[in-house]
Amino acid sequence: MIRKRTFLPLLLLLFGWFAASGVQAQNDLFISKVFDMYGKKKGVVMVDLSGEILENYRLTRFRSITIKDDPEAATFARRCLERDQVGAKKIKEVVANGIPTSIYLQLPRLGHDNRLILYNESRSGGLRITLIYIESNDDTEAILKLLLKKKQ
Amino acid sequence: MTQKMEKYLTIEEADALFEKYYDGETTCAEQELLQDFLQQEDLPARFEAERALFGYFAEEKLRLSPSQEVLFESRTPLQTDDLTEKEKIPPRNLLFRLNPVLRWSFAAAVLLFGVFIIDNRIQAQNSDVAYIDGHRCTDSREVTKLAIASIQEIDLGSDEVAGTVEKMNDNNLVESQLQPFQELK
Repeated sequence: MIRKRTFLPLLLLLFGWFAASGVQAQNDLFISKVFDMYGKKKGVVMVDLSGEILENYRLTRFRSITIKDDPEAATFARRCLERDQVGAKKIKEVVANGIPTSIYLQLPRLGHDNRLILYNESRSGGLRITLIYIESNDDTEAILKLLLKKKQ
Repeated sequence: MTQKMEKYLTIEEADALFEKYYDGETTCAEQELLQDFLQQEDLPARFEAERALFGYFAEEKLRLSPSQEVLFESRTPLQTDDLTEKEKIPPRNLLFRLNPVLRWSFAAAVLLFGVFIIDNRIQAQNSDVAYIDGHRCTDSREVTKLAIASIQEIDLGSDEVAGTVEKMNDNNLVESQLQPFQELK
């Protein structure tokens, strides 16, 4: 009887822990699976920013993943994007030979956060896919301007 | 298998009586039986909690004066019938206050929660990270460089993107497109 009661606080603690760790804006998106599944594999570069580096850029979250020579990952990423497109605004889509090679999506706001997904697929010099997820309090135009500035 | 203790309760009998005890339904005589049972040396470890609880009662009894002892006796979770409503303490609360196992587990839970909060804070401060071929990198310069490199992979330079965004943000878009039709009126 007592033993059951001693486990209760620990059980509550564990429950709280899992609940707290799961509260992230991008967790409702299918593309988060691309980061989870391929992020730590060979031939992959994944960046996850939510700390000091972003302070100068008015972004609250930046995640990117670049995967080389993995057609399976490219197919999986496109499928995830298809699912995330539901309810999102498409800023740009380029289709080559029936396969989308560039997709930019503006997702519905989540609280104060404006969310963007940018996807690019290049086949010159081997298959290379890049997927970027951005959260910001700024509007889409401001975010894209910032990214353009960073490109130059 | 029944382990019979000499002149004491069997383990099964004791288990049943403890259940009754925690429900606040034991008599004084039954509590004494339990007290005697717990004084045995070769009891299974699972009785440690009860031993501590009953040990606490025994110590308190020794420590208190005779008049206080009467009050103490009446305040055990089992003898609340004679108390007024104000004096009655809910058995569960009393159990929690007196049971060291429960108290320690609660303290451990609070401590773990504290560690979790601190750990979370530290992680939040150092959450700029990159993985290159599965190797973790937290060097902010390198991480920034990789982030910019990934942006450069994306073709943002076309007017098409800027034009679409402008249209999406234009609140008067529908009105302006309907304008020619209003003139037909």
